Amino acid sequence: MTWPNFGALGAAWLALLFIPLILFYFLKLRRPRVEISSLVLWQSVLEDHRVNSPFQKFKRNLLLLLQLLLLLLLILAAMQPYIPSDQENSDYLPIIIDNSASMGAIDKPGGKTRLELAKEQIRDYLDKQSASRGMFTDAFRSQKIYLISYSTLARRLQDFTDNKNLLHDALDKLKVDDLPGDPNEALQIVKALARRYDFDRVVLFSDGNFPSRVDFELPFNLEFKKILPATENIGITDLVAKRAGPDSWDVLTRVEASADANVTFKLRIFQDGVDITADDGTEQENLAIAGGQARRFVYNINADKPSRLEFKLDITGFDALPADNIAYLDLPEARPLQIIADDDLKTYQFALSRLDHLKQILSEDAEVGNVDLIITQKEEIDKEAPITLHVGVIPKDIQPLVTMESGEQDEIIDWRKDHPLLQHVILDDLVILNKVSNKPEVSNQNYEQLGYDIIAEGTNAPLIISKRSGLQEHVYTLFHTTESTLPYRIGFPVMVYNLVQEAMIRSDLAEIKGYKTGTLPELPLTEDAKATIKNPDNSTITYTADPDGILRAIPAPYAGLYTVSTPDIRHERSVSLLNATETSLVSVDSIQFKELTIEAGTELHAETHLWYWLALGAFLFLIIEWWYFNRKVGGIAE
Amino acid sequence: MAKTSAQITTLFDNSVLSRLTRMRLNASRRFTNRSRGENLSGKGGQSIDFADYRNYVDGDDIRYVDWNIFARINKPYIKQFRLEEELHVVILIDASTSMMFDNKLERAKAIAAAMSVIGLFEGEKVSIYAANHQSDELKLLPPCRGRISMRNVFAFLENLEGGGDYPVDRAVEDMLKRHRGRGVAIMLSDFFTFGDLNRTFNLVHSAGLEPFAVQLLSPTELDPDFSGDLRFVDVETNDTIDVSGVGQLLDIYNQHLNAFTTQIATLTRQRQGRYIMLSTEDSIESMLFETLLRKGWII
Repeated sequence: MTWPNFGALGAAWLALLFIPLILFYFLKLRRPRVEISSLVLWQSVLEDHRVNSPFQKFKRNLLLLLQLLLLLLLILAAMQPYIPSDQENSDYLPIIIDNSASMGAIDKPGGKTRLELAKEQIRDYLDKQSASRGMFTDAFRSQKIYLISYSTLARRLQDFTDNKNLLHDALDKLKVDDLPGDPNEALQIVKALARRYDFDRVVLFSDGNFPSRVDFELPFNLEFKKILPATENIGITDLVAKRAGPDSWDVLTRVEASADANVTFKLRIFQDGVDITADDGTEQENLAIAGGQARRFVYNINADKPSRLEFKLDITGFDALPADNIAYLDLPEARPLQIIADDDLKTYQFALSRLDHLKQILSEDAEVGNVDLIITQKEEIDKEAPITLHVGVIPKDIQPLVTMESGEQDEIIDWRKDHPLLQHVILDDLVILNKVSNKPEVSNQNYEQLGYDIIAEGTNAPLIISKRSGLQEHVYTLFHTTESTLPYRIGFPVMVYNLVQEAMIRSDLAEIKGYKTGTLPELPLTEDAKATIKNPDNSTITYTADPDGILRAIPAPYAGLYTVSTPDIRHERSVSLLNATETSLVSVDSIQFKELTIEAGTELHAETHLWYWLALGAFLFLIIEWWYFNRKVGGIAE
Repeated sequence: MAKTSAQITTLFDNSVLSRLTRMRLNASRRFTNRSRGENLSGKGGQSIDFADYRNYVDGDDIRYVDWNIFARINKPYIKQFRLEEELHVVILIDASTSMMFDNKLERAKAIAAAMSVIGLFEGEKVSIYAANHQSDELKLLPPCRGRISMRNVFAFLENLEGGGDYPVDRAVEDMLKRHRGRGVAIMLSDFFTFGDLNRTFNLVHSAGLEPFAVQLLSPTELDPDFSGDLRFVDVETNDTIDVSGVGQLLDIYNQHLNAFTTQIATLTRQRQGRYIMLSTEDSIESMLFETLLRKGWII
């Protein structure tokens, strides 16, 4: 049995009030004196009354007893009795709150989201926490709470504080992110806190929609307060466009249903706001999907110019999570790959000509807008492309590191087989007529310090290197391929094919995936350009491009349209949830850590305060006492 | 009442006095007495008027046994002859503090004076006792007779002051210790005593006195109008009693008052006496010539 404690034991001194109460009572007993001729009759009257009414025996002192009892109730209330919770309450308590996409699910129409339920529990706990401890502690202390939220990343909501207003405000501002959840980073934050603050208990509020295994060693007790998950949901979990022809794309979308979902739906497609679902304008029929299953849909969509696709589920029935019912795809123009190739690089020209027709090969002096691939023998060229192959070029900043030995042969002894350029390319036994060697005391580290990645190595120096410059990548073959046996290898056209594929990917001409929430794709601006980002909820924030002129790591936690604006340009990017785990709403009942398994609990128990019940009881008692002793008793009975 | 030059006494008007001189005290029994009364039989003489039979008790003179009845029913009875003997009227006035409420003492003194006048004009012996403080002896107007004693009676009563804690039952007992002679004992009191009134009336009866109990009560005692929580103070003893919700207890009070008066009435009736309860709200004339006359106390 849990015995009550007292939050303000010092209030027991109020018991001294019993003394004046008793004194005043007996002073008050100085009733009006009435002289009468004799007490003979009145004494017998009282005797008679007392005999016939046993309660009267006590009534003389009943008022005193009642008032003593009333005072006792008030003193007990002032001492703030409470029944301790079944958990140890240290002075510090970190609380981790899952605000990933699945926490936005509801369990019935008009119901509360999982996050709202979690907030309610936390608010209830905050309100019930004692404001002070007993008189034998150092001072009046309250439990300090630290709030952390997590979805893909963790975010500190409020430092340790016992200020309930700050904590409530932090909770009020917390919203659901349209992002998948992973508590790992939040646990890392708490682990860092544990080095500075003394606590051994951390509370995690989540619906359990996260990996059941977490690679983390718990240095504290973790209490997993599971919010009852919602169960009925369908959503769009994938959206990919593949090039289908000179001016069209095949757009593949996948719709998945949670285990308990049982709904029908229509999948509507909007291209730049225009419904293109049915070409002939007929009403689309309802589609069905079984619980726990997925369905794929493929649509061929014309894209002779850039457009924005919006896939929307119109669901008949209850759907728990609205965030995954809509997905976006920024569809670029379906145009041919623009390649600029040095006219003298005949081997490359020939290899390029053998590839499919989705390209256009131009000479270096051609006037062209978008260039997707450049193959050149120059270090610098007045055009830019996402990928440029410099054949036989030693960059100026590398030249001090190497020597060229004509007449000496070289070979490639190692290469990165996973590099997009060299996939399925064999470079064994390649004969290179000129040998590039590192100067003494030059190592690969020198190349890396200059920002180069080494793709292939010769006997004495790297032979194929690459460097990123903004969104562009420059690949350098330090040997001229025509001065090697490479063009005669089967791998050479494969390498060229890889080059073209990479260019198509980087130019969004082969396959486009719907951008997922998290961060916006990198955007090319100008160096140190300031851009204003308008979010789907119409809030704005300003970011500055890096020295390369790239706007990176712009947070995009919510699905919808983001607008990036500078005084000169305007970009629009759409992001979607597109996460099968969040859509499935599947939840775990335990978390497996490295050495420990934590089972899910339910409510966060706070102390149960009794003072207001005592105060209420005292108030009602006072009312009854006032009524009883002030009811009409005077006058001659009728 | 202020004594004017024409008023004989302040206790009542001359008209009342005049009327009283023509009245008689109607005692229910006549007691043989060795003193002379108005229609005295004289010592050694007997009246020829047969009055009644009574049971023979030890010590009775067997000359008065009716042998005819004895022969008939084999049980002795004593003949009683009506003798116009002198009646000793002894009056006890409770002059304690309780009687000072609402003119109770004034009424008591007036009734005492009236009874004294009647007795004196009838040629009876009249004595008056007054009880004030327990610590003091009873005040006494020694037995007197004749009309010339009337002024002494008035003077005694007019000068009688109230106050004290003499319980009436003890006052009667002390009175009987000093009194000699049979007759009528007129007790003027509120009879509010914790003592045993049964014993009191027994003593009176044993002393050969016919108890005439006049209970004088004030309107406040007859119909109290109290309410709330009060502390009652006994003016004689200074004892106190706290009563809560007095208004709710008035019914019970009235019941006890009725029982109390009934008890005294029963005690006097059982001893061949008379009892009456008078309210001080009534005038002395009303008391004497309406109530007492109607009740047959005086004729």
